[in-house]
Amino acid sequence: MRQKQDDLSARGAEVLVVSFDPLRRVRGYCRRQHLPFRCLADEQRLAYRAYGLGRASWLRTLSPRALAPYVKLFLRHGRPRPVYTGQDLRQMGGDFVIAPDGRVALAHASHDPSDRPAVDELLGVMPSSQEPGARSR
Amino acid sequence: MPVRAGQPAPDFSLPSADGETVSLAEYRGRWVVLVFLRWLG
Repeated sequence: MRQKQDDLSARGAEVLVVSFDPLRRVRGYCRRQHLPFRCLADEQRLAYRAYGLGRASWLRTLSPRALAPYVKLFLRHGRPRPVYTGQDLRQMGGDFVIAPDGRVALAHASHDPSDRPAVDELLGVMPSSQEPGARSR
Repeated sequence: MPVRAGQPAPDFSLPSADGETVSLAEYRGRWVVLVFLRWLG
């Protein structure tokens, strides 16, 4: 999504990243990752629940498809991602695009940890800001 | 039940990493992409 920031800006879109981790961890994470987006903490998971994002089964959480990205990271960097006490590995994520009129334009609740839509799919529901005749041939 | 396209987006008010409280309603009139993370790691 970071690579598509220009496309998002061209559409006047704002990206809000929501995590259920404590605010201090969210702050540290966003700072370390240099995220150009607003990071929000939903420790009580009120927004997660409101958007219908529940917890996956252990079977889904530990499936080969779900673990594959982490195995790749481990093989590339040689160390596992740290997991701190109390972290909920089963909480599912999701991606939603909200239109200017307040309606949901795209809803994608992840079915397993590797299930995320491509950024182009998110961009696809937002009209481009290119004006007719902007390009001359 | 997950929220579906076409439905009103549920509003929320959450603390942000930059020290403010952010509501979805503040962004009315703009496109918003909500990315709900799994664990931060």
